[in-house]
Amino acid sequence: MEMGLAKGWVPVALDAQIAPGSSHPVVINDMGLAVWRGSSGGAQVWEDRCPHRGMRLSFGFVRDEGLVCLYHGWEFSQGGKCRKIPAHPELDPPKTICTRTFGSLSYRGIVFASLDKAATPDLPADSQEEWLPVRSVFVAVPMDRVATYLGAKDNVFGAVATADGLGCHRLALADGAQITVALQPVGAEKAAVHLTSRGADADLRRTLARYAVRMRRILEIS
Amino acid sequence: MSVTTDPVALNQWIPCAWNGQIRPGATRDTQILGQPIRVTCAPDGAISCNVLDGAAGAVGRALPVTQKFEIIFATLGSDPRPLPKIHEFDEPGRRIANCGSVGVNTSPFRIVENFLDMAHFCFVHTDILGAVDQTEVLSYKCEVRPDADEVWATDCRFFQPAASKSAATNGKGQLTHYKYRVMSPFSVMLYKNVFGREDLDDAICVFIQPKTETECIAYMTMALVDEGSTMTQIIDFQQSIFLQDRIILENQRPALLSFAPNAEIPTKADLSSIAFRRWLKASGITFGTVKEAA
Repeated sequence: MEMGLAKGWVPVALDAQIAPGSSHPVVINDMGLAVWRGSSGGAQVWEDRCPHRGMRLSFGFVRDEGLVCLYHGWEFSQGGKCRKIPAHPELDPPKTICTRTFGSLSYRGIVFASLDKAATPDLPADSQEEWLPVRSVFVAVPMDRVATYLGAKDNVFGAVATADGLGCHRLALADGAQITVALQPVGAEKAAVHLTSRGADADLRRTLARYAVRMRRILEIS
Repeated sequence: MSVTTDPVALNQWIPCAWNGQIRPGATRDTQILGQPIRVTCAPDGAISCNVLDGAAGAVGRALPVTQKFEIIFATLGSDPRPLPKIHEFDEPGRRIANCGSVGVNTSPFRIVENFLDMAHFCFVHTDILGAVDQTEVLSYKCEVRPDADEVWATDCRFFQPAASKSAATNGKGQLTHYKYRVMSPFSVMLYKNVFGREDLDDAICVFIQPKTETECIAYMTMALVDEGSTMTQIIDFQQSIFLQDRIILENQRPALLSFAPNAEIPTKADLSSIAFRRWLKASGITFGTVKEAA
């Protein structure tokens, strides 16, 4: 099962998880990222490290469409450039002071990041409509074990996951609802599973969320 | 980790308990620089320290111990750097506050740099040591004093709403004058001018016990001029400040300090940390730092 939306893209969170004005830590293959959003617009994905003294930027706060580091208040605008150093209020920070930024996009209600400057793929028209958040679960097993489990027909959802050609996996339920599953490698022995759905009402989405938790229990015990 | 072989780190006095922490007849097992040790308080109050060897933790050779500044120090070295002279601890009329110890999971040098830094007051200690509308760090001086081989920062000034417990009870802020002093790789102190007394400084010290390169215990002791506050108020204030710093300290990446020139980006406000890193590198210490690839 290939990883990610298309080569080079990895899921990091549900869109609904990254509320406007918030900042969150995410780990991909043991590398720390800060995922944040201004008052509107797309989620940003940056290295989780301020270039000043290495403080994790995910602890920072969002102000005026930028991310502010919690340690010394250095402010970084979208694109990663430092725009203010409070210890020297009159100083225009040198252009060389910036955070390391990565590509990001939203697909079927899930935020994806590109760590190695992958080209933005052409997304089909269905990518944003009607996909609602179900859950993210973190599982203490390698990502490949989750993939194998979802590919078997006796999994907790009662439907075999099939690759949909864009790197996510889709499960089609008997009543017509569809689930998108995106797998994130957190570390060698830990993965995140992000689920959104289309054509499922609120009750069914709650049920699917409980199934995801049951899946975690099954995977971690066996 | 196994015990360090770094001779600069080994030849330091390392804190292993605070004065009164171990009751007569009791022991405390801990670790310094990767070496498990046992600190013993005899029934008559005499303190001794031994290494613990092997998987079974057999009691091994005795280590030299000494007591100063309300702290018990031990050393693994044969020729340790002498403990500093801090005359405020001997001045009559001073209140000596032993603030105990706090565990912090980071390199000892991240702790020292955080203690030297003023630019974080407005963000980490908001409305206590700094205000959000007064963030400027005024220029100050920094030097290595060759006689004691210590790093000193002087002429440090910062506007503070409530710089110590006694200033807070007066209800207004002050432009606080500070001096900073790095006495050894694992210890740092500041002199903070006493509110209303230009000629007097409070002395606030941090002595660090590195258990490993990235796990430390920080001991804080102070020699203060403060007749108004209770000892509980004084200790509570310092501990709450330190716990605010710990959130930062445990979330800096990497934990180890790097000497590489482009690893991190300092500004003028970081003059003391720049001097500290240069001084550390010149000392030859490698414990607690990012090791350069061969």
